[in-house]
Amino acid sequence: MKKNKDFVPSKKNISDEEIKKQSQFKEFIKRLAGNKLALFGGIVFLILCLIAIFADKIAMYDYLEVDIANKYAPISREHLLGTDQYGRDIFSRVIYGGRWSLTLGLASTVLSTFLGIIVGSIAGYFGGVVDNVIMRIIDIVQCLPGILLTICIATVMGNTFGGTIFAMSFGGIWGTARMLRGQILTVRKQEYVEAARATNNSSPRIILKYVLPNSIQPIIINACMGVGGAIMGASSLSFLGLGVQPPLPEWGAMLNDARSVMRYYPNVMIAPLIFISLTVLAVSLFGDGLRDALDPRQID
Amino acid sequence: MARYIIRRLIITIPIILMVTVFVFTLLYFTPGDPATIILGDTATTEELASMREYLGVDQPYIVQLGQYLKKLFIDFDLGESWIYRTNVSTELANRMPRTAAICIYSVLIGALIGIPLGVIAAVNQNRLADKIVLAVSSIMTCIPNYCIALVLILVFALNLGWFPAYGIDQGIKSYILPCISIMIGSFSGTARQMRSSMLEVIRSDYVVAARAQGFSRNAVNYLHALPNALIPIITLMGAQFAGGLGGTMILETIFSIPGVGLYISGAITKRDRPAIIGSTVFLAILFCLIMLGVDIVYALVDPRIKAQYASAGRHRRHGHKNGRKGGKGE
Repeated sequence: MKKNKDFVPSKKNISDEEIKKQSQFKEFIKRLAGNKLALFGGIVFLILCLIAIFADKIAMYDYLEVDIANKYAPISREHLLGTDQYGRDIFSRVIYGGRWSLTLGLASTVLSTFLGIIVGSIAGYFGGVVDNVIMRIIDIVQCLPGILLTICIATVMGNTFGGTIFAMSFGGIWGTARMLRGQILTVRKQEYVEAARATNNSSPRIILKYVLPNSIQPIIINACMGVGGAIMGASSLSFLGLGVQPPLPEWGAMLNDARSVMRYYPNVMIAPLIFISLTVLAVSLFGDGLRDALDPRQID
Repeated sequence: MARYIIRRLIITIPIILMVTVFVFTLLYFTPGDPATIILGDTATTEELASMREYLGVDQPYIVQLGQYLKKLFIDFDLGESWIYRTNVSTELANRMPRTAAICIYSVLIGALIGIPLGVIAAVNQNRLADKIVLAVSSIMTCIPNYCIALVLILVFALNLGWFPAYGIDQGIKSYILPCISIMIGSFSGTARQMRSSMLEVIRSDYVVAARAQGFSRNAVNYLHALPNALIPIITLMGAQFAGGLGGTMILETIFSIPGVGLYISGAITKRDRPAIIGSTVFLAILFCLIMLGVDIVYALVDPRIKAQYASAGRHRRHGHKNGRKGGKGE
């Protein structure tokens, strides 16, 4: 370990680097702020998140409060979006629903990216048999239709909240891993990685300190762009009756509930529908903006 | 080229084998006793035991897996559904045309609308037409297709009564709403992809050279650039078609179309193991074949890729290590 100390950059270098990082970050923020659509998406998503977090302060009723006498109430001051077939206030349910929908989308993206990074770095860095085995697993998983795989795993995990998050992230792990592996293959031949290896650094340290920082950017961009798809996936899963179970007000589950009565009471369906679409749109716009800001070469 | 196709087909076999083992293992460990699911909670212990014996689920995992693999890979039999007591292959063969029709029509119509839109956007980059196409396609890709389906049902089936809300009794009319629901997502994707690939080609040297030689902008764009820009769309359409086969699951449920998707979702809710594995393996084989088909079409339309395959074959015969390797993920 003593040898390593010779290679630690001097104090001056670090501060220079910090300055450079700062200005890169400023540059990134400037580019992001210049993209109006991305800003709009970011702000809308932030508002939706805040609404979900402070749902108990905003909602006028509890999301489980049944009032059969008052079912299918029209839009009024008491019930801003009317009530559903059990007399539950739709506005309150939609507001609370964000908690499940957004958590599912965000958590499954984070989990799949995290696991994908682990798998991808192992495959890319070690190569050989390990890489071959992982690549064959990726081949298998990518042959299966995504939603079918998710549904199978959700069924195995028994439709719990954690199980749904895992089921949704499982399909995403392999795409991330494959992408990162490709990145790492180009990075690991670089001189600085060889230098790190020559100075007796351990493999995890080399991966974490030298390889990942230089290959992770596309993964982050990919993850940001994937959140919208994940939220959409979560709601479709609940819509099929898997994932979040009624009476919890996940948006997809609410749509599924509303489907049977949509002929006579379409307003039961409209609110979750708008919320899902708005969220996915906002996240996608923000993700596109993030990609352009992080990697300006990709802009047409 | 022929060598490449044969190689790819041979690679597909172990992949399908592993897919089968993977799905079988996954379902084996799904909670719930198959006999109880079939006979219900009221069945006696003896009935349950004899049902388990009949289904073969009283055997150890490895025996069951071996039996299933033998049936699938040697007898080419997908087995019999536990719930419906029908042969899974027959069921899939009956249902596949409906699912395929939805996928093929929606992808084709999506391409017919998406390609011109993408070209218009690319040719008018940064002008109003481009912005409108980009905005419309971004918004359309963000709406889940089952949401679109619900809105379409609400408007065109329940309110206007132009199309049926569910079932396939009315022939082609029954397929219009499901196709539009998928098509809206696929045309936006195609338009975006077409726009970026067209922009890339327009900026390449040979297009600039053609312009310098005095060809008009339209002649260069539509005769020189467009055919090359169309090539990536083939992959996209292949992927959309393959993705659609799984994605129709939700739409077939909404529209009650008795296709493969509805069969699988029914099988999953009833834990009908042979039906789930059979259909999954079937879809995986189809997926591999579609991807192979995409690669072949690619080679047919693009002589550069064909030359690549040919040279890869030559390299391999001469013992070079750097030849292009076949198969995914290399």
